[in-house]
Amino acid sequence: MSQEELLLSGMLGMLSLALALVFIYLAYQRRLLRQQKEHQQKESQYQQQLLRASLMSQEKERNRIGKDLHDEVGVMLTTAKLYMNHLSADQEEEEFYQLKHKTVQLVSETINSMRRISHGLRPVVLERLGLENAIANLVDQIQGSGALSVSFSAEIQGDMDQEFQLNWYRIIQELMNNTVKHAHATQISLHLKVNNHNVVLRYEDNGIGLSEYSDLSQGLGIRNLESRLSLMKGKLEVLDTEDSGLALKVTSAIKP
Amino acid sequence: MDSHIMILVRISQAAVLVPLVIGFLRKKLLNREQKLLLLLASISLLSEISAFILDFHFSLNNLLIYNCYNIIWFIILILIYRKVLRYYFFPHLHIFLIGGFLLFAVGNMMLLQPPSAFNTNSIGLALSIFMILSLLFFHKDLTSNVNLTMKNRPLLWLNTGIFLYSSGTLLLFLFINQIIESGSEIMIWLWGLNAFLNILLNAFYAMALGIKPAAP
Repeated sequence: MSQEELLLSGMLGMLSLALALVFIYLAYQRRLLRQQKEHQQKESQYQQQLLRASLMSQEKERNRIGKDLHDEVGVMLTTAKLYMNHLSADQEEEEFYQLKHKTVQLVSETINSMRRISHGLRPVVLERLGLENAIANLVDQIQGSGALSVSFSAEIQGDMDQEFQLNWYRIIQELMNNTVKHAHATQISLHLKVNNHNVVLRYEDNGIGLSEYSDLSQGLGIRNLESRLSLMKGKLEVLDTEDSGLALKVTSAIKP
Repeated sequence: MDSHIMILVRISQAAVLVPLVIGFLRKKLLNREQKLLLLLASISLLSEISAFILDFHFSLNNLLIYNCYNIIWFIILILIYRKVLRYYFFPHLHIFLIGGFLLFAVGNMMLLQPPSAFNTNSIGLALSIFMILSLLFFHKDLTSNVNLTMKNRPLLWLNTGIFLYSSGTLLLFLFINQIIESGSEIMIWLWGLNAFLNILLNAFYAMALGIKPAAP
């Protein structure tokens, strides 16, 4: 083979190799594009699920408030109105004061109910005393029921955003509610750590574990948590537990 | 030279007009890299015209023009590939590469290969560097999280053209001085293949200048 023939073969060989590489690149690129598209679809489905969960949660909350207002406040006000209708100047003094006393009692019970409902909507303790005390208040409420023992510790150093504090309050409330309702647990342990960059919550209970939690693992519970966490660039990790029970590590940023 | 191959060579010399026309028609819509490519196409046309005049009207050796064009080709393409260099190496590597290549090309012209011969050392070096850079470009494209579609990526078209052209012509330009005088039948095919690759390169230039780049 002459030098020229060798050179021509070499050139054609190199060109073929280059063409093959370009085709491999194109094939790989197509595969990546397909994967990207699939990933985007999954992401979009996930976002839809979060949105649906958020809307359902809102609706559930509205129903609860409506029910509370109708069943408690409404009934008490109607009764108070009935009592007031019976009040008249020509009534016997003793009966008059009895009715008046009952009416005042009903009005003050209505005020208490209103306070409880509004507290549920926007926890006053959170606004006044901050996240640590608001969680301590939640813990006290659950401890007060006598069904569960809750240990809570916190190390709070960073300055957390107000909206994030409310989200964290709701997350912890949701977790504890799920434990109370579904986990058949006797103990809850909560450790919250806030530094200048992030928030870390370690949540444990000695109940039946996440796989058995139909409401938290599949239903609204986990979606609500994820929805709130996604707003705070946060994530939820389910940790391995030696015994039965649930162990979670929840993290987020401290501000947007 | 075989008349068909001769026609192919003439077409390859005129092929630069296609990207040039497209580039000037879309001049206001071009991004930085596309403007540099348009400049390269303009210089390519000027050098083809000058080489043609020297060869046909004055029967003079026109290789000096091609040797100088090779240096300009290298500089402009390195400026276009600046982002790839920055991604893989360090921000100002393009300045060192251009400076180093200029020194090498001028030194080679003065000491090793005269301007009247193919400066195969500098052409070979330039083609090798662009082969590596275009492979790095492909690699960067597949590994970084970018929108991969070819429709709005002028640099991807340019890179493909540069890769095919550099790979196809590297051996020819490395050994051209040893075989140029042989006048064998194969030489005609070698020039034909070079002309074809040049047309292909200009077609890719045209694509790179013809498409609207994605918003940064």
